[in-house]
Amino acid sequence: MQPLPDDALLISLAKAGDIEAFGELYTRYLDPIFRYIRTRVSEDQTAEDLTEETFIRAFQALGKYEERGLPFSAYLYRVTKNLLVDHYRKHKDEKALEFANQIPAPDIISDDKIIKAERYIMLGRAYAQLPEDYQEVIRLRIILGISTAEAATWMDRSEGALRVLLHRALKALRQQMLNDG
Amino acid sequence: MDENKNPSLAQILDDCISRLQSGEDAVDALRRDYPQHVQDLAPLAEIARQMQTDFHAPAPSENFARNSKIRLLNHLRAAHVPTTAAKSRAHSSKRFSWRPARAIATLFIAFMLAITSTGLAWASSDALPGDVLYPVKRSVEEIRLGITFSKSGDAELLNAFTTERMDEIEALIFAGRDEYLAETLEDYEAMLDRLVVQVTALNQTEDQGALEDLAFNLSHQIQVLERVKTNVPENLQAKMEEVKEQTQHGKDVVETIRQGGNPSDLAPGQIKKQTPQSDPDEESQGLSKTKTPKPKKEKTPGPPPWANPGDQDKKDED
Repeated sequence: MQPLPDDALLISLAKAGDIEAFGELYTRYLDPIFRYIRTRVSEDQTAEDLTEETFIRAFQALGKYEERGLPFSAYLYRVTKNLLVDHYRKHKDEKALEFANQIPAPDIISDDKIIKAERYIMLGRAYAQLPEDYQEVIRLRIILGISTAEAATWMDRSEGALRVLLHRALKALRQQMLNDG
Repeated sequence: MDENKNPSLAQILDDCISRLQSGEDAVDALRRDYPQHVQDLAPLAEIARQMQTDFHAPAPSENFARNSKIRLLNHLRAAHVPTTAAKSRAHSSKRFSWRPARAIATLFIAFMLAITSTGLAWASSDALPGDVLYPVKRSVEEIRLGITFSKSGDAELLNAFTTERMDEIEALIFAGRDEYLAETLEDYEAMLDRLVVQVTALNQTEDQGALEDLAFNLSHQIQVLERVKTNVPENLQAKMEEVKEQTQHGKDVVETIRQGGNPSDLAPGQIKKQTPQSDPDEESQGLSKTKTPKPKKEKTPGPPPWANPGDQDKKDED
């Protein structure tokens, strides 16, 4: 079986205008980018629209991307973050919902697991009150399951600094839950 | 908690979370491997487990994943979205900076180009459509277009390659290789289209020399088309006429820019009243400013089904 071309090759082809090569990058990174956006907006449809817009912007700005040992996903993450800033600017009402309803609840109510439902609400409320970088590290490492190394490049920190941030974030989350009681 | 202890505790917690993601019970792992830190870290690992369970981020639907790629690529193709690389290339003649890495890369490309273009150009420069080396010749052209650093550079190359296509048309006609003629005429039109797009980005004063060359070459090409048309098979006469008119249109665009006008004034569909044979003297006196029909427009007997009927009435009045 022929080995898949690496990201660097696809990026250089895409920079030269090869749209098919960019399509391959899209296939590779659709899932993490969509899932990340889906944790930041309240509806699937919005997440789908923003995902497509992210890749269009990423293609348009591909000339700015320079290989410095950073994964392509870190570049896409940066484009996504900027897009979300624009999105919230245009939809200020949704910003209020950002931390409350962005992640669909599991079927906890239909399963009649009230305790789980209460825990979900309590956890969500406490999480919403954390500082943005605490939320972000929990989102990347725990909700999305992104590796420490990759999350560190996304957040532009060393791996050690990211671990410390995660530790502090979870401590703050626990403290917030205790306070909310 | 002592801040100095955080890095090691942070590492242990991070390890627990990684295990959680691979399906292990993080709290059990903590009890087993780091019993001295259970009291500090077990509540945090438990919260992480709850977050992971309750706050699952859904993946894109299969339907979206399948259709969105097609939609995206079609959008990029249709929009001809220029990458920043392409944009910066267009302006790089003014703000090119000789940073070491870029300088090395540029020299490398120049070196490769020298080798590639010299060798391949030598082998394929005289190739005609249908020859084995002809695809090589066309590929070399595309490579050269891909590494020009300015709009005027692109226009100069496209000008040269348009002339090359015309030389090929002439050579094919006189060699009697009519089977490749229709395809080469299409290639010429395509190259001319690219040239016209590039020309609209040129500046009346800054690119005066390039514009003069373009006007001269396009006039020459019109003359060639006029000269060889009697040797073209009957079934390609209409095509020859179409190509000639398109070349005239390209020349009009160039002349308009040379005179500081706006090429959008030359919108297709505006009828230019001219004699079949263009007189370069007349054109230089201003006739070239008149409007040229877009050949494909003439082939359409009526308006497209989606056209506004009012537009058609207006056109008929004209």
